[in-house]
Amino acid sequence: MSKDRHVDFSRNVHSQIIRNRLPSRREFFRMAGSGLLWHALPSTSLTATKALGSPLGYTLQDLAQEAHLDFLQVCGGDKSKKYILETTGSGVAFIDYDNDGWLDIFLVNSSSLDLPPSGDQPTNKLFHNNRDGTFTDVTARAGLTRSGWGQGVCVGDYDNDGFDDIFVTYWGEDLLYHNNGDGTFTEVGRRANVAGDPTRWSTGCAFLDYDRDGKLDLFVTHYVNFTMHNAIDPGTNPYCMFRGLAVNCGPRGLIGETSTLYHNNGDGTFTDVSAQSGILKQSNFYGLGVLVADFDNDGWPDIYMASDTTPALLFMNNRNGTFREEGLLRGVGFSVNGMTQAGMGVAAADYDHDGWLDILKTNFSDEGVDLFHNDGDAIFTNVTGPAGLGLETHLVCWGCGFFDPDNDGNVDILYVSGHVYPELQRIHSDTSYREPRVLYRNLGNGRFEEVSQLAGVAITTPSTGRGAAFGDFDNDGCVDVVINNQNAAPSLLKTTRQNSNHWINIKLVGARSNRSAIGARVKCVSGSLSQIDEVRSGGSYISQSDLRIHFGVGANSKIDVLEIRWPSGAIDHLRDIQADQFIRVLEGGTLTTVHATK
Amino acid sequence: MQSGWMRRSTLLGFTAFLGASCFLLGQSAPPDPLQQHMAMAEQSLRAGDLAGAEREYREILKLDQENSLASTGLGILLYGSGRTEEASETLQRALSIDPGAKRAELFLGLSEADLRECSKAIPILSKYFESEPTGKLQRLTGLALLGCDASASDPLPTLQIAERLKQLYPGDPDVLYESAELYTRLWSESASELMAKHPDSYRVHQLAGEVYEAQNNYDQAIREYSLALQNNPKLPTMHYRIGQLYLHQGAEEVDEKAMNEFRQEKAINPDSAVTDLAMADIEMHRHNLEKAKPLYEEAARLDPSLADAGVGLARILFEEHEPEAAERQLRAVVAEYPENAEAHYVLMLVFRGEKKIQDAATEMATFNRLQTEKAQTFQSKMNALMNGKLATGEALPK
Repeated sequence: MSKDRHVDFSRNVHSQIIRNRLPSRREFFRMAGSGLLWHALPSTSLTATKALGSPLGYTLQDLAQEAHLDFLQVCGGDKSKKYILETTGSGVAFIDYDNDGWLDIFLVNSSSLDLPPSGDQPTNKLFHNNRDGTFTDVTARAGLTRSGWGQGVCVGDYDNDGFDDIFVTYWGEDLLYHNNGDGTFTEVGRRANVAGDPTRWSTGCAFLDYDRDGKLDLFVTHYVNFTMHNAIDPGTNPYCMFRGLAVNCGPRGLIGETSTLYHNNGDGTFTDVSAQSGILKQSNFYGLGVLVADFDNDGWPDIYMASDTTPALLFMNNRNGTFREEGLLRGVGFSVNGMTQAGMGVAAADYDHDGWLDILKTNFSDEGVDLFHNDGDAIFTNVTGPAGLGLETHLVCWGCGFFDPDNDGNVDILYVSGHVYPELQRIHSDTSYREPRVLYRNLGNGRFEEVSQLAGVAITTPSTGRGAAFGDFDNDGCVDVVINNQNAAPSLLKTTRQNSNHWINIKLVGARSNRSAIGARVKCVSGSLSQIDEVRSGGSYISQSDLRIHFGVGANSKIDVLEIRWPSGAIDHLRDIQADQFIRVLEGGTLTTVHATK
Repeated sequence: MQSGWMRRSTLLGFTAFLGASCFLLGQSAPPDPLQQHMAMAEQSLRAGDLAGAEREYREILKLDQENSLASTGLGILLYGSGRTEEASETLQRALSIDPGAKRAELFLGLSEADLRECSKAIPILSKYFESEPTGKLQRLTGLALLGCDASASDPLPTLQIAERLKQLYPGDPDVLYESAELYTRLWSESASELMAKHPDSYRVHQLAGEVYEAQNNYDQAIREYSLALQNNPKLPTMHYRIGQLYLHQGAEEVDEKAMNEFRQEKAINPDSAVTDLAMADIEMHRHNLEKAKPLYEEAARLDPSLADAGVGLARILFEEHEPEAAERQLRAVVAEYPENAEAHYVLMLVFRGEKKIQDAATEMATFNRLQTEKAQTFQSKMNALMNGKLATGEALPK
């Protein structure tokens, strides 16, 4: 040790001891420190590699700018964030709002505490797909201009008029945009009784037909009881410190929330049935991502909900209009060690083709992600380690999804990341605010392999990801990804095939069931490959993916059997369907080819 | 220095003494102005009108400068109102009139302590801390003694007083606070002496590392621990702590960096059970069960009280499809450590896997209870930090 350094050190430490008795108390600091988040991230030294001639069988490129997605997400400050309200970002939706067979994009915007009350405010935006890889901002024309602290989004045709509607959650009143079918929307949240309490903070949402009456109901979860009156300033207590920095407080220490279930009355209005359905029994949690799926294969939709620093919840459908919460017993409430986690995003897929839907959940740093394998009948085992997904534990993870970009019939995993403390950029730390995305390839044997580096800069470039949605926006037979980055422009990750694998894309239209066919289960058998998926509203991190179902089928050029189990209970079987096409199936089995691949 | 509210609180309890003294005086004295003032002082004290009582005592002293009781009463009131210099003078005067005036002497000691005249205060306070019955006055005396000992070269008597106070007044926040002050001061003095006398020693770096670690400044902590190791390569626990800091940092390739440190720790500190446990957890995280298992076993062998090692071992047994062995292992852990939530959680999973639904439900209930208690404890701490109230809305003890 050099003398100079010794002198410096002595002065620093000694002065801490002498000047202020409190900071010198080691035990006090240990106690305080033990309650702080032991979250840390590395310097983003991942070396970007171009995905030219990718061994993945596809390439990924961020084409948001080329696609004219002219949007800047605003969520508080980009240099510092005073309140937790500024950290959660917003969701994004793929929606074919005009039924032209091409996915449009709806990006939710939030706000900032520093904005003047008058003047330009950030608004949500709807981008119409021009079918040439570009989009046009049609927000104003569609009647969707709206400012405020927007959070999540989900899509469903709640009035069965053939056009998908949009629900947007807010810190404040939620919005229900009725799709008028002519390219415009009308906000009917209050009229439909789903605007909610203007003082609440809604986050994740999903349309679902929980009682299978053919009309879409609505599930909304809420984060924390937060008002500017009860807001706590950064550094107010030891739980508002991170690496010695005063940072925004929460959610621990703030008042938790409940969820809301709205029943569709069939007349354009909804009734809050949270209490009688059993949803309200669970309280004092910090709800974020919502995932609806039939986990026990009984034909009734169940609800899984990620919760920040409180147990994740699994509401099992009692088939009588009520739910029972069984997250703990079924093994999806806690980490493998029985610890609560800061759950953010959620996704479902049958990644190992055993006929049961498994769950992916993203969490805060140090917690990694969770892969819950469905052992059957919705009994889950946390297989994160055995599946090889335990490698990246240093990222704060948000939007996520299973998708099959190489169409090999094995769903891969992509999730986006970004820290909640931009203040980290101010100190020389191995923890950074912007973080890379993570891509795992499904090896087909129950294990995954991280291939982020192979995918290149579209994955490895650090960003501030929050919402993420999956869908084939350019109808080329490859599932793409749109990401709503916090305080930044969005990313549109276009997947380009470099293999000859086949696929099928299926648009379901309900008749007795809800028109969006949300909750329909599709089984796709091609050769020895048997896959399942469901039409799903919500999911990921408070986002909406394509309501169409996409299966990669590998070398199989045809689908032997498509089995569709509709929410109404009807089952359709379609046989010998040519692969590599977009089909539309009406409940009852009528199949229409929309178009083959370009 | 005692805070004003503490003094006033004690003083209000002590007015009974003053009042009784006045009453006794009134019984034996003739009905003259002196007696009237004494009676009025008593009335004021009973009514909590300290200013009124002070006025009456001063009137008595105008009439009778040699009145020891009035001087004592006035001195105590002055001490209670924070006018300690004046109190000291008045109480000294009371003692000069009546050297046997115990209350005057005790409150003189308290006043001197407030004035940081500790050489004068400590002998008095020590005497009365021993002789006073358990109660507010003894507590106040002990706290003054603790606060007064800054310059004492021998901390042993003060430490003994702190321990005695904690025995006599368990959980008392003022006692705990003053004890914390004392231990902090001793820590600070020792640390300063260490830095002054051995500035280049590995202990200085070790200490600095601990300070930085406690402040969550991981980079600096690692740097200081590394410097300590440069000076003393065989210093135990340093590599372990560096490894743990790497894990807390969560940097890239953190597992391997931490493992490297843990291996070095084991090389110089082969009996470190926690190092085996940390390595086992990493191997478990990597799903290298065959490597994790012997490490958990070794950790448990070296330190049978490491419940986490037992739970880790059970998790491996469960993953290896040996649920009965896992169950035995976990039953042993929960028998020894019934409050270990993780053990109950894993046992619930094992029972669930064995289709023992009732047993699983029991473990789930226990786990839920422990989780709820943990959440309530956290909320209580938060509330205490934020608004001085516990989770139940109950105010913190004064």
